[in-house]
Amino acid sequence: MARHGERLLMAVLLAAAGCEKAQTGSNGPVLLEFAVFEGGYGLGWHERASRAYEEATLGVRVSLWGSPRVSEKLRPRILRGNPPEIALCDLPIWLLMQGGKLRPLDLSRPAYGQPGKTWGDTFLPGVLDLTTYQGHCLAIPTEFGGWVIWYDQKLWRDRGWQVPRTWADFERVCQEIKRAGIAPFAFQGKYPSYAIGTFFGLLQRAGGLEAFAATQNLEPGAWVASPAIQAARLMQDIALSYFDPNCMALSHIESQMEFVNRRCAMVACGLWLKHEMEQNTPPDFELSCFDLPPLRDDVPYMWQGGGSHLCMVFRDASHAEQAEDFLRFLTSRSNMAKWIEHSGSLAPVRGAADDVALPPDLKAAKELMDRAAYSFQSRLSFFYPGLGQTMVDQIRFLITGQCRPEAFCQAMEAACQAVRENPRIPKAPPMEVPARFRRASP
Amino acid sequence: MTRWTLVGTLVLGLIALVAGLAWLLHRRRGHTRGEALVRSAGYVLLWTHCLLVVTPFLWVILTSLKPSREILASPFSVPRVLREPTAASWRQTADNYATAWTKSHFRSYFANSVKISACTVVLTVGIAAMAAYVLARFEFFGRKLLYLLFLAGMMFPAQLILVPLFFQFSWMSDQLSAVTLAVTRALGIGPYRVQMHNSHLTLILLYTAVSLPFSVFVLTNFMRTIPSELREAALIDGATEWQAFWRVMLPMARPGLVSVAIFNFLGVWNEYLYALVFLDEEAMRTLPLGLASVSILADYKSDYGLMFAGLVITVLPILAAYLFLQRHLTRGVTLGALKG
Amino acid sequence: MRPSRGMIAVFLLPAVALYTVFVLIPALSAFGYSFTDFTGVTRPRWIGLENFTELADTGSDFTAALLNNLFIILVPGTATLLVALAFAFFIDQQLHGSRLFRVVFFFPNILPLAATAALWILVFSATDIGAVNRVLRAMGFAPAQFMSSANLLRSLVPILVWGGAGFYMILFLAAMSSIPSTLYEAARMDGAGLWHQFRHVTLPLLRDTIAMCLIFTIIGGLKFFDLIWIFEKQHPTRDSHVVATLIYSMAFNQYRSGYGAAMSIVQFVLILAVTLVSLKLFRKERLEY
Repeated sequence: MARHGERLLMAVLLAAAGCEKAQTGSNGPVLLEFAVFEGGYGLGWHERASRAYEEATLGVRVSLWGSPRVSEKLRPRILRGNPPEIALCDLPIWLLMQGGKLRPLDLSRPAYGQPGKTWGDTFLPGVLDLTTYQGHCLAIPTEFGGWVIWYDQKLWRDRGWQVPRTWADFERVCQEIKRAGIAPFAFQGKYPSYAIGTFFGLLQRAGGLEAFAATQNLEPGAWVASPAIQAARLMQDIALSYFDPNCMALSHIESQMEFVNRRCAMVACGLWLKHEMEQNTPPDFELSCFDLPPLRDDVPYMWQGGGSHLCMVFRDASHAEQAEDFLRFLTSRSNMAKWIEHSGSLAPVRGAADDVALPPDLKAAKELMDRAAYSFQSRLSFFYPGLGQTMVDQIRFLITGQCRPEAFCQAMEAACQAVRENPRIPKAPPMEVPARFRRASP
Repeated sequence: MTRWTLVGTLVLGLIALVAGLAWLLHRRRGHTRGEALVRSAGYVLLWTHCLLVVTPFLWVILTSLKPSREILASPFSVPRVLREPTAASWRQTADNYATAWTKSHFRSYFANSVKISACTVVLTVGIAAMAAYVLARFEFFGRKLLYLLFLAGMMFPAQLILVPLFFQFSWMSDQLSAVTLAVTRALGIGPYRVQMHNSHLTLILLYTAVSLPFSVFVLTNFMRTIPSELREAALIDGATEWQAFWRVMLPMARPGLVSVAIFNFLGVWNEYLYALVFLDEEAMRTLPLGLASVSILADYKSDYGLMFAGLVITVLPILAAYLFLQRHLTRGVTLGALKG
Repeated sequence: MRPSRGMIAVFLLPAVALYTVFVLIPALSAFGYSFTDFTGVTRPRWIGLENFTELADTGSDFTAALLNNLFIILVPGTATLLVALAFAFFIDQQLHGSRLFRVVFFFPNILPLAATAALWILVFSATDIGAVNRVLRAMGFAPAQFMSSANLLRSLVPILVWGGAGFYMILFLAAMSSIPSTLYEAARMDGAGLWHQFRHVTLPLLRDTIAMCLIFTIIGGLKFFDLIWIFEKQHPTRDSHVVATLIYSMAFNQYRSGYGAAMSIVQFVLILAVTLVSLKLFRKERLEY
């Protein structure tokens, strides 16, 4: 038995060995390692762009790889100073920015395919603010998103419901929908963070950009000011009166299925909705969108959305400079147009959307965006993950009616105060409110 | 009003059932009234739980015979494939399973689980037996301390070592890669690199290490019970220490070895956390991990057929093995737990 | 006649090497990390006891999670033991079908928790395929949201009892089978009914086993992870977090590995405390015999 036992042991070890052939690549072309988060959009666009760059640039190869768990794999490598050249995934960018791990990007270089313009000029206004630290831009968004209310034109047409333009219209149409036996709003109850977009939309309607910026800048009293309380109250009213009664146990797909199967009339979601539900949408579904109506006359309409899918170049990588060039190529107007085609979402580069024939739902979204005077996007969870988590928990209490709106505001105020007064938590650069949006009276 | 009367009726029905059964037992079997009541309550309780255990599985098995669309349309009816068995409907059912097996990687999950569990068990039992042997029978410097160190490991929660291991693995990967690259280059064979993340070998070693405390603990107790004359006789006959161990002493500890092997196999087969953190690729995942990701992500395609088929693929082999080995299992569990 | 020191070392080496590298060293590192603000992407900085003071605060997420662990130990934990005891009692009475019951009841215990989770996600689902809601609706009740975060821990009670009773039942049965029948006969001759026999003969002799099962329950309750993680689709909320899921979430989703390490140290200390205290109590009981 002894011999067999030992042999068995050896066999076991060898059979299970995880050795793999290493990649050599020392005196070859410049190798850019491009790590991408593999999510709902897949890697198609990234693949094509990488190949195009290889053809356009001599002596460069792009080694693209993707996985849904990319950020986990990269974390230890970043720590040890062995990062990939360029990554497009959900790493803790704010930490990396502070830690000096990202290469400052030179926005004054000429843009690809747009002679006479610098790289920085090609972007939509304000879209690079999030990733600018101490005067340097450290990451570039490759998608421009938005938070809208989706609806099915066919269903609404058949039932004679009108897209609301005023708040009174909005309440009225919700009541009509309810009377017809359909839940007005589908809601992704297992992920209460979906309510945060609606809440901040209400906040901007109630108190203008200043009220929103106050919360983003952790100003004392921002959450207990009257716009915030009004927004919380409206949020709770909408949730308790108009959300699908079953929604809290549903995941995002399940609730969106309710919407797509016409058991709910609307759903608040980002621009990824169509792509996410593509396989399950009936062929006669006419997806379109509108946004929350205004609450005050003196507050202009603003698009809630901003840059996302951030792409960064690592300072410590072997070919960081070439990687920066690749990033410039990736965010060129033609490539961004291809992104719009591929993803059904929008891009942060000016004019890219005009180069593409947009499907009707995206066209509706773009119309909203063009009408908007400005855009805003919450960055609380980007800079303060703990605070972001608190907000998710608190908003869940708010929308299920477990706490009163004032209590929600108090809790958020307390949480923000804790972050503000904690010297260990580095504070984000403040969000600026352009002068033209500052109103004379609060 | 009606629903509560329904509930009331059900409760009354239950009480009537117990009473009626008790009366039967009292009359037919001659139990005293008190005994009959107790026994009757016992029957009702046990049979109810039996139903509660069996029914969900039956439902899952039946539902897995339906394609996704039928599941969504009528989740509680008899599957169409049973009502009207045509070639077409059988093919749809087979599709569910075929997709789960190949496209959704359940074949890989299953193979990986078997491989990892078997290797871990062999390694753990072998290594733990060796250590337990000397810890149980021979005095040496630091014996008590070593034993206590192993015992302490039984109290470490998995999360304690999770985070440091995550970073330690990549450090170890690097060192190991550098060494193997240099060595294989020097030897002229194509450069090989060792990776510790997403590697079965690493996971096997990790599982072994984590299973050692319990296994050493149980086996030490067993090793103590083997008479030492056997070893002395073997040594006199010219065997080395090693041979004495493998050929004479170890077989004596077989009940303990079997029980430890079973316990460990179950533990590793069902393990989720470490597999979740350290295995990335679809093709490398184990069964619990695969099943969990299917149920977490299955919504993405709303593919209930896949989820049910995957669940059946996971459960049926376990059920078969269980029915086969069930007596050993219960004995192993009892021995393992009560010895502690 | 003892094996040489070298031989002993050879026997011990694989176990000690593996254990040190994969368990002891990480455990020590965890201890070290817990005093830093390690994020996982930047160099750790020493912050002393700040992590510990933060988690000891009564309002912290850690305390809320610990209370959830307590709930799991107290409610499904003790319910499982009681149900298992009841099952063992009845099966010990040699009711017809006992063999079948043993086999059937133990089965849920050997399934991977992922399979149990998948099964119950389907059964408790709030969509059309959920069996329980279907029954409720047929009876006229409104469908309940079993899988929502707020209700999750309560919904876990039947699931844990369903899955865990079999294991403890086997243990109790094994212990019961070693009670000599002469004791029962003596009690019967004294006129004791079934219930009295149980209370005065069975239970006292089972005390050790019950105590051990209690320890298993408590330690298992403190380590609980899989079901909650899968039910909450990897994103538990403050209502549904337990210590184990919170540690994972903190370390990997919120990039606070130092804080996560501190929490795992506290979890370990709690487990250690429970074990030591119960061992002490155990020993005291044994001496009385």
